[in-house]
Amino acid sequence: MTMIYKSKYLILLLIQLMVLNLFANDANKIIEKANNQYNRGLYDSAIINYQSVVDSGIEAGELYYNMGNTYYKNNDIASSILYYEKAKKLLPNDESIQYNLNIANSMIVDKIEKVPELFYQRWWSFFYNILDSNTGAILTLILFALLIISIGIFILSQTRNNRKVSFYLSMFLLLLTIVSTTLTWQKYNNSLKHKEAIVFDPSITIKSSPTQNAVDLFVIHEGTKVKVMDKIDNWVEIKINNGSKGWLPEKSIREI
Amino acid sequence: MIKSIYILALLLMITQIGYADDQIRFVGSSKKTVAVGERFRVVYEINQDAGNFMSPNFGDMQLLSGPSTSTNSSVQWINGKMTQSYSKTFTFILRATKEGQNTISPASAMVNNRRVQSNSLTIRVVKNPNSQKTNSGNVSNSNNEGVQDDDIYLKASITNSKPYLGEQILVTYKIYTKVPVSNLIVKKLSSFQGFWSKSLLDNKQQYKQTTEIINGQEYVVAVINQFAIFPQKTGKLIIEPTEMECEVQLRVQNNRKRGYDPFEDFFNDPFFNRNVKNIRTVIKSNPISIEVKPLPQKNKPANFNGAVGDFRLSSKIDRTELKANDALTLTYTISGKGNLELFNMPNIKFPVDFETFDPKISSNIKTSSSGVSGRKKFEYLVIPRVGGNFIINPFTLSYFDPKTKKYRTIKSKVYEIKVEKGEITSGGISYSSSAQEDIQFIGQDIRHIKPLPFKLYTIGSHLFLSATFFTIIVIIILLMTMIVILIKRMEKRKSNTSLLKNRKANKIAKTRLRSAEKFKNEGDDKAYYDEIAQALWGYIGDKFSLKQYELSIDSVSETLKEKGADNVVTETFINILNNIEFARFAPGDSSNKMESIYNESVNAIMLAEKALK
Repeated sequence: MTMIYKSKYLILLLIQLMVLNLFANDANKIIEKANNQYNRGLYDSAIINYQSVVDSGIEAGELYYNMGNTYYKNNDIASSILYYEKAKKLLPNDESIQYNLNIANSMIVDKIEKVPELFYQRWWSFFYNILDSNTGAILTLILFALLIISIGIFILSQTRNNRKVSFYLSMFLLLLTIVSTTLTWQKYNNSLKHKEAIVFDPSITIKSSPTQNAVDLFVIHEGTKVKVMDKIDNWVEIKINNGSKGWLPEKSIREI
Repeated sequence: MIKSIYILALLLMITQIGYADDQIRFVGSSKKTVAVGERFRVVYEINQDAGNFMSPNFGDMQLLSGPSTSTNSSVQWINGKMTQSYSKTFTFILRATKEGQNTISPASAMVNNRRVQSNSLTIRVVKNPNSQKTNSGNVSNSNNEGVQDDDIYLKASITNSKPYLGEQILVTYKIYTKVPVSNLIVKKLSSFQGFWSKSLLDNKQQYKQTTEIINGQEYVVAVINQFAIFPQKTGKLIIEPTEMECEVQLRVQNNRKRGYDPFEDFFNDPFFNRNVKNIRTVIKSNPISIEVKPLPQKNKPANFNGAVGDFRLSSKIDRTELKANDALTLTYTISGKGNLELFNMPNIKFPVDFETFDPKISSNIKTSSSGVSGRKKFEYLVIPRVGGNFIINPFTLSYFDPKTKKYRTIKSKVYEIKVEKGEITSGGISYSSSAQEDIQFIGQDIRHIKPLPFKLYTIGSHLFLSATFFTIIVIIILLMTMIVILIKRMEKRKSNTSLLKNRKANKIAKTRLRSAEKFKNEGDDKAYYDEIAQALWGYIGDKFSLKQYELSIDSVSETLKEKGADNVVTETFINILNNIEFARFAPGDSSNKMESIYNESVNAIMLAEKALK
């Protein structure tokens, strides 16, 4: 019974890979075309082509980065920030993405001072930013395999010395696996739940509660990145970098 | 007495003068029949000083102007008889708009604190018998009351009613008149909303007059004003009419009744031609609607900034070879027809090592009846500060040519400039070539896009927690478990065989010893010793899982010690082994020795068996 399930999964996986490959061939052509259009300054057409690739269900950090560039050249700063952030999510260590994102961020209205993080938060975010979700998953798998191997060695070893070494090794690997799993899990969760968004309205008043006649708290502008904390009906609770929270209509932001 | 009577009489007379005409006459008069569109006058005359005049209701007729007030009083002594007259007139100019009977309600005024009313008027408006133009001559003769529309009119005309955005078009205001006109005053100029406009005529210019025959009538035509306008937005734009006021001289008939017309009273003096009447009139031009077309988007150059027209670009440089710190002058001239004044300073990127100053801009823009044309000059003073070969990139100018309906891009020349190293001046302006300079960042831009190939993923695909992820984990665990189980099993099997051997070791040794005894009885020494040696070595090999090649005296003593046998046992075992080896290669004294070796071997095996249990 389990064998049948397994083989079913395997076949499904294979089909998925083949389909993706087929898409990828087409997508590569369209991306090539869009890149050429970008080089010639035809930003509108380039955006349409890039978008068609994304609409067909394909993504890549580089693709989002190129889209961000195109929007930037088209003077759509908010969109460019959105796509740079999307790219950064997939390629957290890419220096060009960070550079362009900084330039785009320097052109928006709002300048929000970031609340300084505690040292462990800094470390966590350092590790958090090292890997993207898939690399994290692969790392987790490798660490897990090493852990299992070292447990195996522990079971098989007969001399006292070997047992001792393999035990400590197993403990260490277990710790690493747990850290890597947690990081990856957090990344995975974040990417599923869209915890960040970019403001798209030129200017939007943040309310104290999710109704139109609530007290106005503060005003933020196009291109500002916000954290999405909660959702009620068509309203979302957001938090900006300096820690202020408030509600705004869902339609005025786009999730990363 | 008589004197006093005279005085009384005089006084009476004076008071009589005061109330000479106690009868208040308040009469409205006008033409009884008018044609549609005709201007005519309604005059109210009152023979007393009246105030608080209330205008009547004119019904369907359009009030063009009024009331204008005039007073006229005269005292005449004729043959000692004094006649005094006083009249005040209120004049309205009306235009009939609709056919039919029209009644004008009475006007009222306050005279000596009494409100008096005039008569009401009935005016019949009839259809215009002929078209305005053909009967105009007629009208001027028969109808002296107003100015006819075609006596004098203002006409606005444009060169192109469907221009492109920013294209130059000309608006001309011409006055057409059949009658003498004086005192032309512009009352209201057209406001060119949505246009950038420039007047082409000087304000204080003598109007040039020409004559034109229109519909068989001779008109004097004069250009009042002319503008070059450039539409600044697309869609339908309307130029509102210009209004002018002027005095028109009309011929009038002599047999008019007196006292009706205040103007007549005023102008009826010997200095004026009695046949001519001056009328102030307002003339309005026609509104013009213009449909502004947007510029085509196709093939629009990137640096196009809205210039429409026909332009040339020339550039001039005074020298291309010079020493550092010497100045050079670079001049760009844009000339042509179009909105030249809207041109901004060309954005020329000079090499960073050049010191540049803001250009001197001079424009020579001519306005003539053919529109705005001219040239705009940008003069740059540039001082190269370091030696080297430099290139001044050309300045490109894009414009839309409405004639060919195409965009054109013109480029100035590329200048290569050779700069020799200048002498180091005492002023220290020169940058010494040995001094290091920081890199100057000229601009900032985002980094370029990433080229293919890069890896593409399906959106939302995550390895983490996916089927693949779990499959791999399961595979890892299964694989490792299998390996562990296999290794364990192999070890077990191995230990099983050695245990078996261990258990059988004693037995085998005994069998060997028995067969050795057989050889002894047969007297075969060599076979006997071989069998005993075999028995002992084999016993140890089986007991301690040692291979044949591992067997030696040393390894045996070591293994025995390791396994916890005491020294006596080990020594006994080593001794017997040595004895056997010795006996095997030095036979003799056979039966006795054979017997002792046999006993010792049995003893040794027994001891070992005991010790290793």
